[in-house]
Amino acid sequence: MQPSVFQILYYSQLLASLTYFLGALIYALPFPVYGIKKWAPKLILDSIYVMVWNSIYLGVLYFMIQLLSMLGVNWGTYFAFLNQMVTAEEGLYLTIETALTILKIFELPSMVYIVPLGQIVTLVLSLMSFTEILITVSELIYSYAGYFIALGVLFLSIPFRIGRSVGGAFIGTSIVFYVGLPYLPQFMQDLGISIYLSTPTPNSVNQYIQFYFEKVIPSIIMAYFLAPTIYIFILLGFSAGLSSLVSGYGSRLPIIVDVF
Amino acid sequence: MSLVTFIENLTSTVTEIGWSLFILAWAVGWALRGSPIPIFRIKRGGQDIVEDAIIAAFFLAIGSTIFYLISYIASQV
Repeated sequence: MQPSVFQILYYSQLLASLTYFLGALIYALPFPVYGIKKWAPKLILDSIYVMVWNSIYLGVLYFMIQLLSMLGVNWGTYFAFLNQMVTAEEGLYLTIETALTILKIFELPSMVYIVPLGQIVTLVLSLMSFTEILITVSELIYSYAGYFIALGVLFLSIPFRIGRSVGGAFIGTSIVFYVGLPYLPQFMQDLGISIYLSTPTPNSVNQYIQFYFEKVIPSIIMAYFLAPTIYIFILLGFSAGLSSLVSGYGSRLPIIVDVF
Repeated sequence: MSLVTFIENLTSTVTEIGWSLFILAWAVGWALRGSPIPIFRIKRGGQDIVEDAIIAAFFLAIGSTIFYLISYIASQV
């Protein structure tokens, strides 16, 4: 059984008090070696920092929800959008399979060799699995964002800054992806990328094939693979920045503990 | 022994060691500062140790109070 969020925060509080008293102990060491003594204010500051994170934990969750509503998006419409993507891909797959079957029925093997329909099937299936992975990751983040933040605080609270960067990465990535992922439909709409395909009006089979290769394939690669990937990379950049803000030199407290 | 009790025991042990080290550092610092050796750097080192010991005692006292307060308030809620 996995521990609950508040149990994890309780463990991090225990570790923070251990860190604090280790810092005080190092201050009391009776030999003035700077290399050891410099850890004392760092440890005390770290434990106060973890206590601050413990206190504002629920506030951070509330802030994330507020930010989502300020952006005007929510997770329900995002999941509906992802399901529409899967449905559109399934429709495309069905169309191509139908075309393949018709070609086979009417004994047109030359067409099967000329037009690489098998490649299109492979492409559509790959895009479908990519979308399914996107759905899985989104559900993971939607269900466990608060849990990941608590785990990040636990990593922050390990003495001597062992898990500090890991904790910062947990917290930053959870916040950015929880707020950022539901904005993906809006992002694609702003770029003018639609997941729906305009219906072809072909006069002949040749035009139909031409339409597929000139319009449909580039647009599905753009809408179902490139745009989400670009967006996720943008979010990764944001989360790297937020992680370094949480764990790095930006995490200064407005309290002077350093007496040296 | 669970991990929680281990960490709690470790914390109280560290606190005890911290107070003992404070007393030791206080004694050693004043001994060095008051020693009849006419080398300034040793006397200066003794004074540094005494200052650090005072800061350590301050943080130990404040920390014990605040952590006790936190656990008291948490147990009342």
